[in-house]
Amino acid sequence: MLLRMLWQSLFEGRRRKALAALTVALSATLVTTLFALSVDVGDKMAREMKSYGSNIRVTPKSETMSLVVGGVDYNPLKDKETLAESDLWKIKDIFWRNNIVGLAPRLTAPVTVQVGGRDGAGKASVIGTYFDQRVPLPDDAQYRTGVRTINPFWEVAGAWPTEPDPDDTAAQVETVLVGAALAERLGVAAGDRLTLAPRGEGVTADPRSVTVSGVLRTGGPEDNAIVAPLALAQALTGLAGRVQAVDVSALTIPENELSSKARRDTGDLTAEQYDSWYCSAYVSSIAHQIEEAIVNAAARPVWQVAAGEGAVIGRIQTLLLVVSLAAVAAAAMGVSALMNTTILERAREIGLMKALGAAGWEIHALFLGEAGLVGLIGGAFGVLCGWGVAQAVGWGVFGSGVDMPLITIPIVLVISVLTVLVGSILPARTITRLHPVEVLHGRA
Amino acid sequence: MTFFITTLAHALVPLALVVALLPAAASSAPTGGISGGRAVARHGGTLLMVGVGLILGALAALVAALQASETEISTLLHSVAFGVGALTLLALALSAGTRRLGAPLLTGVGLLLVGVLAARGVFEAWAWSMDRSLTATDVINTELIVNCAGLIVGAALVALLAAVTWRVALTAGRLAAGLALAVVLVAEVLTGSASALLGLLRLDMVTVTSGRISYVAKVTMLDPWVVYMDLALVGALVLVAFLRRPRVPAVPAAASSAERVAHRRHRARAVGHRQWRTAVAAVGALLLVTISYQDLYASLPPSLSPAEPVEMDAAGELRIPIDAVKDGTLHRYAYIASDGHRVRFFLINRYDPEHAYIGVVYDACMICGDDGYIQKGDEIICIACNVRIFRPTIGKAGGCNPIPLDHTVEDDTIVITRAALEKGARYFSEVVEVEATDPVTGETVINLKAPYQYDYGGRTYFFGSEDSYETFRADPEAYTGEDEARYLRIQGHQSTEG
Repeated sequence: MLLRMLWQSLFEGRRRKALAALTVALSATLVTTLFALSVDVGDKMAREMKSYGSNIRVTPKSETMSLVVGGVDYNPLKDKETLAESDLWKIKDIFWRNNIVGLAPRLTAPVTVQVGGRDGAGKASVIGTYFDQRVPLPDDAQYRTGVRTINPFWEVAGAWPTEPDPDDTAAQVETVLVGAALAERLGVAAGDRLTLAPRGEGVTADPRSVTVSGVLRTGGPEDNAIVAPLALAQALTGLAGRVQAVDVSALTIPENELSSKARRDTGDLTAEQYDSWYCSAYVSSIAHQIEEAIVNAAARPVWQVAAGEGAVIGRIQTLLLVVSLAAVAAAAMGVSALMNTTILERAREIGLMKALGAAGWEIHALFLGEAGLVGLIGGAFGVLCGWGVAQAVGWGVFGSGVDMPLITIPIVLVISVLTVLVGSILPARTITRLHPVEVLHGRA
Repeated sequence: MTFFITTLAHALVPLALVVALLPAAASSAPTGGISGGRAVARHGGTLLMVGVGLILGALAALVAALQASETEISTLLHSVAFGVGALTLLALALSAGTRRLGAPLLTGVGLLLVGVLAARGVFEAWAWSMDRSLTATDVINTELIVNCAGLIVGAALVALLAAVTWRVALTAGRLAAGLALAVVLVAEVLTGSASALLGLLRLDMVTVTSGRISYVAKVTMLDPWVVYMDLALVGALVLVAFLRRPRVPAVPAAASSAERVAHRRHRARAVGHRQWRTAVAAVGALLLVTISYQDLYASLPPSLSPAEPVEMDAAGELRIPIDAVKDGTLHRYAYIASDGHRVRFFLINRYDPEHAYIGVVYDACMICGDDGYIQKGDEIICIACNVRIFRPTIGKAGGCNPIPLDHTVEDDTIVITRAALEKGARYFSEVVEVEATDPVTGETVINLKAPYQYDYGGRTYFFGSEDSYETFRADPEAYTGEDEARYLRIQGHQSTEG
């Protein structure tokens, strides 16, 4: 009975209902947009925290000293301190050594590049690293590691460079990779010869002539550099046997309360908690063990999303919620006004229902049910529009579309229905006050 | 999501039942007529008590979190709930005898119990979900929304259960409601006594005796089943209410209009009752499905793939062709050691099928014990600590890697000796029934039924009589022969070739 009445009354006063739905749709659009952006980043962050693989960056301790004033880094030891290449095997000797998937050192050498057979020279930097280098370990002399293990998504058009064997000191680096952006700038392709001359102050190394074996595409800073076997960068900087940083890839378990407590300060942990943390493969405990193994090193987990988009959204998410709340409140007020008119207009109908013995809650259910349906329709429109706006914002701000998380749809629909219901509470109270005799007589 | 619904159900369903059953059990009429307004006014007190209890419980949880005094506060709450529950049970028994005195007393003590149960419920829900965070990050995300929805849905379901059961209990009558309430209270008093006693034992306020420990252990086993029993009671109430439903008498063809009106009223009442019964059944069934899904399926640890039993050949060797195990999946085997320990081990190719490089390891970890490893997709996971094992390192000691097993490779066959498997038998705790030999008399005994046994060098020896047991004890080495001592987990990794 109630459903039948609901269905029939739904098509009455269509203009006003369309207006109410539009009000709700506008607020729902805003809420959808803000939610889609915020939840998308939140999901990515949660996925990062819960993933089973992490990256750790090992740098000299002085690198982590922050001396940034007005955006300029005044740390006098910046890029001056280095780690010993001969210490790297120690990373594979910690308690969780078997969970270290691979490691790749880094040493950057500023150079001037001259393309063989052409005049003029350009500036660039050479990033020295391991590609698939043999690193003898005490229990495995044939252990090989490098960027090909820890960055499997690096694309090379051409061939990977050949690396000299660590035991063969006389061997020279002959081949390098050139980043895609730099290759375009210099106009080089695989097979070209380059002459690299050191550019740093006080560096007196001989220029080196090498062959480009391929063009590298990573999506990172390597696209703008020459990526070479570590020995070449060491020769060009005069830092034989040294590295500036090490990237380590490890199999870890998701962060939880214990690990976040440990991340704040390991001193806060009780002895029992410390043991359990140390013997669990959290990224923080693995980083801690690397710091123990290598003198003067600082190891930090690299949280890509948390440090990037996450930091931005984290700071403005309260603002987003307040804006959403304001939109919802405004919509509720608009609906309230419309609802009031509807009830006054249909006062005779209500009086008739009361006179026929309808209970108060049945009339309420009729009006609130109607309002809920209007909210649902408005919300659905809002979700569609919001999806479009989120895409536009995504392309405008981040340069990519936004994956709208599915949870946004039920959330926005629930919020829209709640908006309408909240807006209807005050008008619905009028229903109770209507006396059948008065309204039917036309004196309401 | 279901975890939070289930936690709330376990913590709050007893409260919901007490709230729902008290009015019917304490009512003055044997079958309650539903008189809307008055009943609601009477329930104002109950709702107030529930609210106060919930706030107190939340405060208790807050204090426990800040002061790290979880045991103290939970013991206090359990003790109070135990005391008030027992009092309510007494009042219920009294009201069965003398209604005039019993019913008001039951209502009064019952109100107090409602408050206490609400406080305890909130506290327990907090304590159970303490290690389970709502979200991995502060930024609003799907997981956070879903888990919060779980909390809201769980609380709503429990509240709905209380509301609809209250109406059905009035139809079911005083006797049925009183009996159901008695069962609920007995369960609460019983489990509450064990929880309170456990807390007192932990706080050293009661001396520890084996009888107390065994009481606590036995009664605590019942805890997870209380909510199922409560839901079964709700089902029984629906059944009683169905049997006692108001019948609509047939109306004679020549009935007066007043009779027809009365008939229509009857029918409306019957329809109303049916709707309430359906609502109770629906809410109860939804709760039952959710919590049994969580308890019996979702919260279970992953199970090991079956292990293939192995037999040694005449030379005491096990030969496994590499071709049979190089497909990249985990091949688990089980060997029964001489004293009945079931030694699980597995073989897995560390690289691709073209480069067969087989890791041969025990299915146990030096840190986590013998829970074992499972394969999920390409990953090998330690069940105990959830660590992913980097596959090329399987066969190397260290971290949470499986313990390496001594073996040799002959051409295309992996050879594992009986002696190697025997040495690792103590890494495993599972013991099956086997025939063993009394090392002194040479008679055959069943390991689990042997009257005497003695551990020597990590091996368990079984004896048929006290004589041979004493003889062995006097000079074990005379009888152990060439049996080598076994490894124990506490000794750490032994040097083995990986």
